[in-house]
Amino acid sequence: MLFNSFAFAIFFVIIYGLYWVLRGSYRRQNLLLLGASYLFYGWWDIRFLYLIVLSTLVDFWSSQCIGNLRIPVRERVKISLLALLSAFLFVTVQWNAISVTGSWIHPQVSVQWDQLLPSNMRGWWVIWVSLAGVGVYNLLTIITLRLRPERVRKFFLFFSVVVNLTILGVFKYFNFFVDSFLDLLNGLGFHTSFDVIRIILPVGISFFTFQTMSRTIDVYRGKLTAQASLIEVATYISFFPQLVAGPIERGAHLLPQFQRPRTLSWVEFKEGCWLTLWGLYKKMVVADNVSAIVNQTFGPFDSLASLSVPEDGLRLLVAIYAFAIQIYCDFSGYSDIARGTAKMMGFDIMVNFNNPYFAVDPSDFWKRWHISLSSWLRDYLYIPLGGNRNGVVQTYRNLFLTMVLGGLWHGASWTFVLWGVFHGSILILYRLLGINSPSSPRFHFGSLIRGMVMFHLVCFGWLLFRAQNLETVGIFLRSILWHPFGSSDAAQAFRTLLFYGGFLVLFQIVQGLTHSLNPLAKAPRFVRLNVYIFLVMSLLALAASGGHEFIYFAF
Amino acid sequence: MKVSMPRLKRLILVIGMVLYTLGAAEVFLRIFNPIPLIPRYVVATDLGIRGNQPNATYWHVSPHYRIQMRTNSKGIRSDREIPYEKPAGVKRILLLGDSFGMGYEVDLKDTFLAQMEENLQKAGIPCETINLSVSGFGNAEELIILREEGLKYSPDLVVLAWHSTDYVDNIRSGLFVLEEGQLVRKNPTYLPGTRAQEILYTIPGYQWIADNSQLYNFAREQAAVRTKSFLATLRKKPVQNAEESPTKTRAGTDLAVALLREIQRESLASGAQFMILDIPAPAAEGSFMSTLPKQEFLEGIPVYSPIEDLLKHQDKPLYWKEHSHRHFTPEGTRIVGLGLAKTAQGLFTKRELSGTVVDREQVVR
Repeated sequence: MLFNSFAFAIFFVIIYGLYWVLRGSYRRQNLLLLGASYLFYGWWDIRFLYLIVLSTLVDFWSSQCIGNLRIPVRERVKISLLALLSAFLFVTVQWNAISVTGSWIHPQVSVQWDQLLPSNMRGWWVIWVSLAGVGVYNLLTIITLRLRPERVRKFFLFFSVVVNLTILGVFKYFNFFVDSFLDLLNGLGFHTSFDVIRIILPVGISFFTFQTMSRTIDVYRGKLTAQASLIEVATYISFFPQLVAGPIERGAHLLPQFQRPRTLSWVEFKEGCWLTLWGLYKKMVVADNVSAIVNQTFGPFDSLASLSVPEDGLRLLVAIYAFAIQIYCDFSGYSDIARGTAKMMGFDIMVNFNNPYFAVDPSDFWKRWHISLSSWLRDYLYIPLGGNRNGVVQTYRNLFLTMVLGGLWHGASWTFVLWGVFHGSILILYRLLGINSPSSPRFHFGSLIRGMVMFHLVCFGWLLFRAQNLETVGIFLRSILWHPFGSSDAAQAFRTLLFYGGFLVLFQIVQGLTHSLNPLAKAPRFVRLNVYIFLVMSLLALAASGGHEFIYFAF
Repeated sequence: MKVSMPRLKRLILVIGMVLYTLGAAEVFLRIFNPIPLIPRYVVATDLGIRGNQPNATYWHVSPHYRIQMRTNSKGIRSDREIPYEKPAGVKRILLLGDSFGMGYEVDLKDTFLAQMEENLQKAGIPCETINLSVSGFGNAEELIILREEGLKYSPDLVVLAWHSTDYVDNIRSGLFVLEEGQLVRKNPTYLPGTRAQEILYTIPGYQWIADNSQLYNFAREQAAVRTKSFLATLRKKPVQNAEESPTKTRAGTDLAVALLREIQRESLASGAQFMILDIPAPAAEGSFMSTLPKQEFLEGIPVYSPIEDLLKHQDKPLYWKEHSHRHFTPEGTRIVGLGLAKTAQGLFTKRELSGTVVDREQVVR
């Protein structure tokens, strides 16, 4: 279910209506949100709900043991049964044996009973594996809880992190590592080819895995107590506005919001509507329309259908600028819609983007781009690695490693690794050159030059990010550097970019000058009205057709 | 009822804001996404089907053109009255079609019928053309208008401008159905939207808004598309894009063939020759697609398909693209008019048909 779809609009209106009806009881609202979130996620593929449930149960169990050094038997039995039940419901039962034909008005449901459940023992493997896992975990818990408190805490933290990283590793990186291993063997002259299972990437797995891990780690660090019910934790992990593409929330910030009544105020509703509208505009009007320029230019190189260096390098440069705008609008648009819909329900979700293309150096950029991920990597990777506490060399190593792993987080591909290497390198280079000063809130010419340099460095990074292969990177660079000429296609692409991205750039400038992400809040009513008219009409008349998926769903 | 001042002020403010919003939205569309204003002056006729409003003058406007549409007292797109009696020594050519046939988005002198007439005159064939096309027509309405009106003009040649939407229109109208292979008249009338339009036109200012407001036309179009899409979802049927996706069912083809055969029979019975102009649908860049039923179903009917002629002029804009309803450009009608004239000339001189019959599935590159 995409935010930019009619189905989501109907879904949200219904959920919001019920949420409003249940405003007297935040616990019932939580239950509603949990059900809605599972429906929202199961819309893609019901089997992947098992991953979320598993991740939730492991983290709830682990954090109970970490925080309280005990877990009641009743609780253990309940969690064990829930794990088995979800394995049965979401994986073992073959829901596609139930088919609905006919129309919505006169649906005809038919069930192929013989295919609803697996006919052989092999088909029940998830149940057997879950049963074994539950048994082992119970046994380990009984044994471990007799150890010294610090060991108990460490064990359960380790266990939780391993389970989550295993889920992530198997579902996101298995194919990548197998393919890379086969390439390596072939490169070494061992011409091997064997069939390997292809694992489908569950939508948003990197986001919810990081979110759930952060809570367990925070409980371990004592920043958060384990005093939250299973429903509250489950809702925190699967909260539908930010489930599939972030922002990656922290337990300390979001979880308490599920533990108290939320207020549904007119002010928050208005602000939520504005964020949703602005996010939809960025996604449907800017990103989706600009993507045509990007796909047209990158397309022939994606499939290696063309390896010739185009004579009009400016067209390729415009395509990279277009991708910079596309990915920003696509991702920040999602974050805005997530924040907006959550705000309408009385939740505050963290800001994920803060005019990233106004950054003047790499460090500044990462404080503005995908803030929830960069701060996650800082808190749970860079600092545990030692941060900047152990001298210059160690600091640079830590920075580099963090960025490389950050790159790999985005996708299982060497171009993402290269993208991480590039960002790690420029972070170090800027530090070495001593030009890592924070950006001044006041505008001056030097900042403009530094900002433009940084923007082009980021664009180079986007080239690495977007290219499907390294040949494309080489072709683009050669074309832009050795053939920096225009063409009618380049001019047309630029006009399209300006047409769809012009208002965004203007608005960002206003945001930058006013140091406010919502400069409209203080604008006169007349100005606000005109901006709203512009955005609504743009959505109605200029939105790209086809309901494009969000780029970050793949991460 | 006494209304207090603050409430009145608030009411005025709200009304003012609504009017301002509508005005601003209109301005937005005119600047950023101008849509073609192509009003259809179509009314209910005594024949139980739609017809062009007689003696109407209105405009079709887009960023590419500004065209005045004029109809005579019989609703024919023409600047003159055409008597039923045929002048001596003149070949009369009757055109049956929809908006393509009527020449939407081109001036009267640029319609392919006018171009055909001009080319035939140049070739020394005195002729007169009569355009009975009405936007939205399918073959069922074309058969009725031929029987009830067209044959009164004693035509020498009846040209039917086939368009991909005919499959859908024939079924939707329900005017004729096939019963045991026989074409049978079913619904006595088919007047979609005319009653609603008549009521709306009684509202002062409505016609002006419908003819001139981008916002109104945009909203109407969006409402139609979204309602269609919603209903299709409810019925779980994919939305049919009438431009691209003819009803490719056997029933759709059978009905279309039966109607075309009946039009041919009526024409021949009255002493007129009959031919089909197969208006191609632009497919992928640089190609066109015929949507006419397969040749085997239409054996014996002369067909002119302009695909080969259009392909020779790829460098020119042949169909309007953005901000239009995607009819022929004057360049496109010039080519079609010339091809039609040649085909008609061939028919008149009993020569072989020079046009090509193209399989409706075939895409010519």
